[in-house]
Amino acid sequence: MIRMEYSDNVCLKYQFDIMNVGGENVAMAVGKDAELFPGMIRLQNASAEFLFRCLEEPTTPERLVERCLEEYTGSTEEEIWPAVENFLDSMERAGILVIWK
Amino acid sequence: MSRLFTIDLGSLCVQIDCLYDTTWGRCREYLTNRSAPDIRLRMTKEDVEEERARAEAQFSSAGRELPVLPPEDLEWISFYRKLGEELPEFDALIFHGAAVAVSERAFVFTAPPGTGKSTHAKLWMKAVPGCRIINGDKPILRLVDGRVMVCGTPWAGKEGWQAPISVPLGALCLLERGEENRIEPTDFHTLFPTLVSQSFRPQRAEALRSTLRVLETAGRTAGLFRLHCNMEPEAARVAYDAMKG
Repeated sequence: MIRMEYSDNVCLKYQFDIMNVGGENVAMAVGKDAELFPGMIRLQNASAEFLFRCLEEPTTPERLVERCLEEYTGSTEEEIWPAVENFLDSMERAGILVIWK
Repeated sequence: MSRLFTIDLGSLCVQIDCLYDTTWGRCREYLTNRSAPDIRLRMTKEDVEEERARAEAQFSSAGRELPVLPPEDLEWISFYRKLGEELPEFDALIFHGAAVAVSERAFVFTAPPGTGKSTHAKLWMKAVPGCRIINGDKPILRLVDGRVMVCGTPWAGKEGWQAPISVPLGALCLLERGEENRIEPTDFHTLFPTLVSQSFRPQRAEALRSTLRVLETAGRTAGLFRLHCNMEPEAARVAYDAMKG
């Protein structure tokens, strides 16, 4: 699980562009960052894309949960927290997340 | 002193203004008298030094000693990189793989370096009647009228296998080493990450979109396969029987 406090700042490490390929959304680094991160991130569903776009600007896990509650009315905080944690964990493992106090 | 010449790559007219005769020599099979270039590339000393700095950084981060890098070779790499950035504007990209042609259909094998792409292409040329090489390392894939053409380039790997021809893509295959020869069809969704990693990665977002569009069309219009193979002649026969459709 993520090694961060819920109030820590988080942001994508590189500049990404989200593209649709064969019905699938993928995020790929562009500009000079394409050399630093030549891989790609497969965004499996709309909520993954929403969270990814939220990370384009500095935010916090707490703020991410708040934004999800605004976006997905009807969902509860108890449902959203694990999803946000899992997403941040996968972004950190992919090496594309910056975390700071 | 510079040298100006024009080459034809996949029916694209590329004008090159370079510093070294070596670059011209490596392109001579692609020289053309066509005028009105689609792409103009000018190589400078700054480009050469930029490639040297890039190589130094890569070797340093890998903890390896930097080999002697002649400026002619650095210009050649810089030319490759500049062309790779320009090609997507013409629905084209440089792809890492070995490409052969049989009966006017192209078959492309891709894999990480050292897997045996060239060896497998060589097996095809021995085992499949009429098989000829398009390129041994880095062909161009170009979208023309809804179909993907596989085009020869002068970036041909250590064997130097290349021909200035363009052939419609018939099938594309990911090679994996195996004890036995076995081939299976696969789909674009599965092969997509490999196709991306084996394609030249342009920096501009719009160029990247074009690159993905070409790959998507290749996935939609050509056969996609995964081949587990050894280096015996049977590997080519197993692959060809499945990929010829």
